[in-house]
This record gives sequence, structure tokens and C-alpha cells, in this order.
Amino acid sequence: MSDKIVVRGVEKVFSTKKEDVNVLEGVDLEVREGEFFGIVGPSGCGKSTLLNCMAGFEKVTSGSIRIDGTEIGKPSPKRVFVFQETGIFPWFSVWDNIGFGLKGMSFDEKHEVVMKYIRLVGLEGFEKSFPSELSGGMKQRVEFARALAVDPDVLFLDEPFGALDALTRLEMRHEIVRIWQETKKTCILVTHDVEEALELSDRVAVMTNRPATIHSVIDNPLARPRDPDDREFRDRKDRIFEILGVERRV
Amino acid sequence: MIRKLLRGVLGFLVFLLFWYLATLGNKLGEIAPPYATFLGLIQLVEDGSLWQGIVASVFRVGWGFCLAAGVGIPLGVAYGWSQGIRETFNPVTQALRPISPIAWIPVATIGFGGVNWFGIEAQDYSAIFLIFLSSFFPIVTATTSAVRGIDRKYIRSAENFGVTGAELFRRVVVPAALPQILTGLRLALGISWVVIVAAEMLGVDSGLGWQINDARSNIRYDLIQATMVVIAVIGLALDSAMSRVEFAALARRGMSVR
Repeated sequence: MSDKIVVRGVEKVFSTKKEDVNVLEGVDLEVREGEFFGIVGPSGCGKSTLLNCMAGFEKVTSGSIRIDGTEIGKPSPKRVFVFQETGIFPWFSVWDNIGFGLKGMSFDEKHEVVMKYIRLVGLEGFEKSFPSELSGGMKQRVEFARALAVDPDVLFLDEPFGALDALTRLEMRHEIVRIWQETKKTCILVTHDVEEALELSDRVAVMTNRPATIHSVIDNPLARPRDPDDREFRDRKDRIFEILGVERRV
Repeated sequence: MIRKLLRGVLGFLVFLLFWYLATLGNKLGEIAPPYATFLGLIQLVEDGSLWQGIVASVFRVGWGFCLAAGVGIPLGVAYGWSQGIRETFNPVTQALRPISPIAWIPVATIGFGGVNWFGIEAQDYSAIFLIFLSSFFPIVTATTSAVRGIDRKYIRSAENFGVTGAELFRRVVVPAALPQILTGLRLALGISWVVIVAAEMLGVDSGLGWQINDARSNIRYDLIQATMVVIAVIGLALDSAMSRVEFAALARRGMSVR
């Protein structure tokens, strides 16, 4: 598989009135075409900032981020960001939300695309519902459908299940794996949940606090569906906790 | 529901009782008891002056409020969206805001002195201007803070899907700011209705405010109080109409009033 995204020597400094805060210091990584890539790290370590830089929402202070060999510029529908608490618009129906990014299409063409993704995420019958009428998991499905409808190459997932309860989160993890297997998009997931990263990702980058950089990238080629009680799974989990300096047994 | 209604009625009855007791034995020319006020109301309805007064006041509030919304909402969106525009013009806007519209009466009177455009008199223009001022500031301030407070993820989502320019405002900025803008409009309408009565006490010869002043010159407290009752009823009606508009506008977009 070829490299889709190449991050080289990325630094990000936020200037506040008092001082300059180094959020990222010399981040290097490669994400391959079609892979599910996880980034784990403690809260506030800069992993969301890195994702925002990759999506083009923030500019890097120095270093480079290339996608398909070109330096990233503005955000583009080729690379869609899925927000921590859903970024779907509460003033649009499910149908309008999913069709939000579709341009230059007749109504019939648009309807066909929207319905295709409504079916993909299993929301048939809810086309006319508003987000306020949906559960947290359903809103998240709408957001995935909205992102996929514009047929992007890359999906950026920023703690996408952070706002969901434990059971819904588990259900949505199954969903995202199924959707990823059906669509083969390159997915980059940022999370502080080590188990989640290992369940979903082909490789997991571990970020550490100060200096905020990639400590190591762990290969995770386990067969799916994955079992967190499996020995190989647990070994990897232990290793990540060790790198993060956290005792996982309470 | 019935209990709530009954309690409301009870509140009014208590109020009427205190009013009755406080004005017991008063004669014409003194503060009028409830029944005399009611008779005054009948008189105002019968001689047609009530209807004239209502039409004049509502006409002025209607125009002043609509003009203020037409100017205030776009300006508030501009203030909220652009730091440059906000930093240039918001300080002067905020400096003008604490000046009571009543203080503008002499300025308005002389400013519109003698004009008669489209067959509408100067006194109407001056009252409309005062209502414009009293509505404009709450609307522009509410809209500015509404637009500034839009969650960044909505703007970023739109940017991510390549939605920019006028389309961004129409599909994202305005709907996101709508609940707070509507609250600002409702507040502004309430203030306008309070201000119109004061504004009509100087330099005009029609409207509910004028009617109060006129009755005062004739020492007819029964007519003053009858007009006050009418002001209360119309004020309530305007507010409930505005709250229905608010509810409908939000419900249509899948949102509810907070």
C-alpha cells in the first residue's frame, strides 16, 4: 500500500498573551492508502490539534503535511472531518444534513445519493426527522453518512464516540468497522481510549505529552472481528499503557 | 391546565380588589375605581377615539420595529462575523445605546420638522424614528452575540464541504443564530411598545400616549386608566404573537425554544 498522508517534522505553536505554547514538536508519521490509522494519547497532548492540521483547519508552524504528494491547503470535501460531538446541523432534517455537501446535482441525483447513504448507515425511515428527535448514536450515523456522501478519500475522526454512552459506543464501533470495510476509505481516528484504538485500527500511533510527539507506531494486524480478551490484543494494550506511563490495573 | 387558568384569574381578582379598596369613594377627577375605568373604556370605544389611538400607535411601532429589524439584523450579522467591522463600529453603537429614546424626542421633532413624504405626517416619522431607535439596539446586540457565539464546528463543517460566501450565511450562519435573534426581536418589540406611549406624549396629536396626555389635561382619570388597560392588552397580544412566530420559526427547523 502506498502512503496517502505524509507528516514530516510538524511543529505547532499557539501564541497566547503570556507565552508561546508548543503543542506539537517534530511529529513524523505516514498513513497508508485505505488503512484505518489510530492516534492515542492522553487528553490535551495535541492529538486533536494534529488532526486539525491534517484537515487544513489549522496551519502548522513548521514542517509539512502532504496528501497524495501535495502540501495540504484549505479544508476540502476530499477529506472530511467527523466532530467530537456531532457537527450535524440541528436546523436541517436528516435528508438535508446528508445532502449538505452535494453540489451541482439535480434533485433526483441528490436524492439517490442521500438515500444510498441513509441505507448504508441504517437510518431508513428517518429522512425527515430532525437531529433533536434522534438518539446520540443515530446523530453520529447521520454525521458519518453526511461525510461519506461527498465520496471523500480520507475521513478524520476526532473522538467520534466521545459523547455516547458505553453500549452505543460499542455498537458504533461495529458500525464504523463495517462502513470502513464496505467503503475502503482511509480513516484516521484520534482517541484517548486505548481499547477503542486497538479494536478499530490497523496501526496505532502513541502520542506522549511534552514534548508532544509520536512515541511509536504499533502494528495491529489482528483479524476482525477483534476480541479485547485475546492475548495478542492484551499484549498490545499493555504496551501502550506502558508507553503512556499508566498502570492499567486498578 | 384548568388549575393554572383559575390561579391566573384569581391573581387578577386580587389585583382588582386592592384597586377597588384603594380608590373607594373617589369622585370623578380623582384616581378612578375599576368600574368607573370600565365605563371610561366604553366611552372611548363608543366615540371611536380608542380605535384611532390604537391604529396610530400600532402603525408607528410596526414601521419602527420592522425598519429596525431590517437594518439591525444584517448589521448584527456583520458585527458578529467580521472582527474588523465590529471593532470599528460596535464601540459607537454601544455608546449610543444607553441614550433613552425619549432623549431623542427634541432631535426627532426638529429633524423631521414639517416633512410630509408619501402623505405621512412629520409626527409619525418622528415617532417611527424613536421606535426604530428603541428596537434597533437590542436587535443589533442580540444578533451580534448570536453570530459570535455560533459553535465553531458548524462553521468548520460548512468550510469542509466547500460551502462559502452567501450560501454559508443562508444555510449555516443565519439558522445557527436564529434562536437568539428571535429572542432579541421579542425583547425589542416589548421595549418599543413601552416607548411608544412615552414618545406620543410630546409633539404628536394622536396615539394612545397622546390620549393619556389629553385625558390628563381634562382631568379624566377614568379615561387615562381605560387607555392604560388597553395598552396592557395590546402589549400582551404583541408579545404572544411574537412568541408564536418564534415557536413556529424554530419548530419548522427542528429546534425548540429554550
